[in-house]
Amino acid sequence: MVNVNGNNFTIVFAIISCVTASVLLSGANESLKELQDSNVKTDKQRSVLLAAGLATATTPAEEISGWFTSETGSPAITPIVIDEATGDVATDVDAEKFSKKPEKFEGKSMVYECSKPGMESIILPITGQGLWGPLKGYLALGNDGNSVLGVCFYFHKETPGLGAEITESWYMDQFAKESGKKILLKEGDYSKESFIGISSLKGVKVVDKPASEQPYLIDGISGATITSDGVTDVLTKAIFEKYSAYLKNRKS
Amino acid sequence: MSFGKSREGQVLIKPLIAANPIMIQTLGVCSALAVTVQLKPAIVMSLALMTVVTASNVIISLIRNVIPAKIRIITFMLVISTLVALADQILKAYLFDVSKQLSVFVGLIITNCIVMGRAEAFATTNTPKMAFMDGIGNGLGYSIVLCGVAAVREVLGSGKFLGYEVAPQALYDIGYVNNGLMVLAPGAFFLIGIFIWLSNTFYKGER
Repeated sequence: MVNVNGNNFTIVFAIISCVTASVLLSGANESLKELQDSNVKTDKQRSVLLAAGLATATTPAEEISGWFTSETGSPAITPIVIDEATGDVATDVDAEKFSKKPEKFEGKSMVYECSKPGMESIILPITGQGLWGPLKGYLALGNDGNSVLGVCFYFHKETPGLGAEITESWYMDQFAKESGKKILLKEGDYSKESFIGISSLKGVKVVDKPASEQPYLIDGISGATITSDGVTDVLTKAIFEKYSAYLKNRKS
Repeated sequence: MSFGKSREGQVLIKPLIAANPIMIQTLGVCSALAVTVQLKPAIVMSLALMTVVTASNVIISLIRNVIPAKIRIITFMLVISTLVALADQILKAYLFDVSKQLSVFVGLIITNCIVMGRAEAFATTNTPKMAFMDGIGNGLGYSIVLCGVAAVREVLGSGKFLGYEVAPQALYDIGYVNNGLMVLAPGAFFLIGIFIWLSNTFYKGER
């Protein structure tokens, strides 16, 4: 019998256990990668549709991808890569290339346009900083480039029960079409003065504010001030910097 | 001899109250503070922890005779984190929604002292069968406290139970407000303190 506590055995044991663990993990990673990637893709597409109110959390995967593919002509929802500074369509960048490595294309963003009659909308990716990590999601605007159709966060690391409430229906419903939220003080005016976006309130309820301010305010989450502030930053400064030029171009 | 009196039965039943991992062993308190604002994440966390502690107990018990004493702690860590990472990969591929819900818990499970504590204190010196019982028992003991704390916090802190409104609107109309302390971590500290106090009072003689 070998001496279990001897140095030689200890080293051999360490090597064997490490190799076993790494083979197991990399094997699992390799063999499941395809399934995982397609799940992530569907999930992302689902949040695009969720933001625009075109799908629900239980819509089957085939129906989701149906919005983005089409056998004849153009699909209902098309991705467009834009230049953030000029607001023009970046014709030199392919949407597929962009979605593979978005960090390579600085100053560019991929937005989605839905051209289905009666449901025309623009879906803008939004990113910001929460308490524990980044917040990523989509903001859907109506064809007027002003009225908000919805917001959906698909990635966050916020505290369950506190910051993570941003994915709960009571929170997301605040952005729904019926709530009548807007981002512009003056329709069609994308200057800094008019582009005020949507801010989270703290300690006060939206219903207690004057009616003229209500379209630009949402209730924050008690106990999650930093998350709520992160959402405010995303929906005020960040979208102004990234998309005001594009939205303005689109209008004219 | 009944099951409750047998050694397996004892190993399973004792951690529920008398040797509860949170109340008596005071292990896993950090996650008990973090995920008990609402009942639903607490239940998910309880199930996940029970699975992991049971599986790690069994695996460590199986290889207990070949683990060199010098590197035993890091070996436990390797087993636990491999297990959790593997489970995470599989969930991501086949149960994507569950994995999204679990996202933050994964790290909390690996670092949960209960898993490590049971590996060191029990699995290294007992047969796989006993280690299995011990895992289930401690997992349940953890779940009882976690769900208890979460239920109280959710009802008092947000007037809801499992997401459903339980505090009637009439109550709010006469001036009742939700207890803001319960939504924050200190609320959990008080509750766990009360739980420990109660269990110390009622189970004094049994330890």
